[in-house]
Amino acid sequence: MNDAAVRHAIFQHFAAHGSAPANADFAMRCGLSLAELHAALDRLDAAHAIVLKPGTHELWMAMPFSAVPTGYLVEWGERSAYANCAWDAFGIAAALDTDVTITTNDPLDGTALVVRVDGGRVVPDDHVVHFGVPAAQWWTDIGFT
Amino acid sequence: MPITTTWALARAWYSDRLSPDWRRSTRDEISAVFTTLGLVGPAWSFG
Repeated sequence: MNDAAVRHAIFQHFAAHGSAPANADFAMRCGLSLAELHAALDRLDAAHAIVLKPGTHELWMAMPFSAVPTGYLVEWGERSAYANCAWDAFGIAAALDTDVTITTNDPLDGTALVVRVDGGRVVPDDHVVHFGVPAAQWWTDIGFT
Repeated sequence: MPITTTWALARAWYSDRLSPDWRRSTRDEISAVFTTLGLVGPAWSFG
């Protein structure tokens, strides 16, 4: 299995389960040794197709999905996943081409917020989203971004 | 950014992410998306 196929399989796993695959099982399903999978993950990380937890071969992000809990819970049907940020929460809806419910908190006062994508429209549609890092610097520290 | 623009940006950015043929967009392609959505200025420039 080449790197593109590994990348696709990772995203298919997130779409089906809302979480990252476990590397040992995932390597077997990909027909790769664990060392071969680790090398593929390193290359995909270097290409910014995924993000690994620093110093490991554990997935951190497969944008828009997060492999770790965040403040952006996205639910669709009977499934759910965490997104990396508000943009990525909508990104899950876009990637899956489905309606979702996003649960988060107002960053200013902590108030619980629920926003839906319903029939392709955002409800409610009067919120604003803060982008704190200029585009040219997004990958300087992707975790902060 | 209005939340509706964030949704539009997400659709432009992520709609093909589950495709087996996905590839990372070039800076020119990304800049074109930003411009289409009215995202202009230093914050949206790769300068």
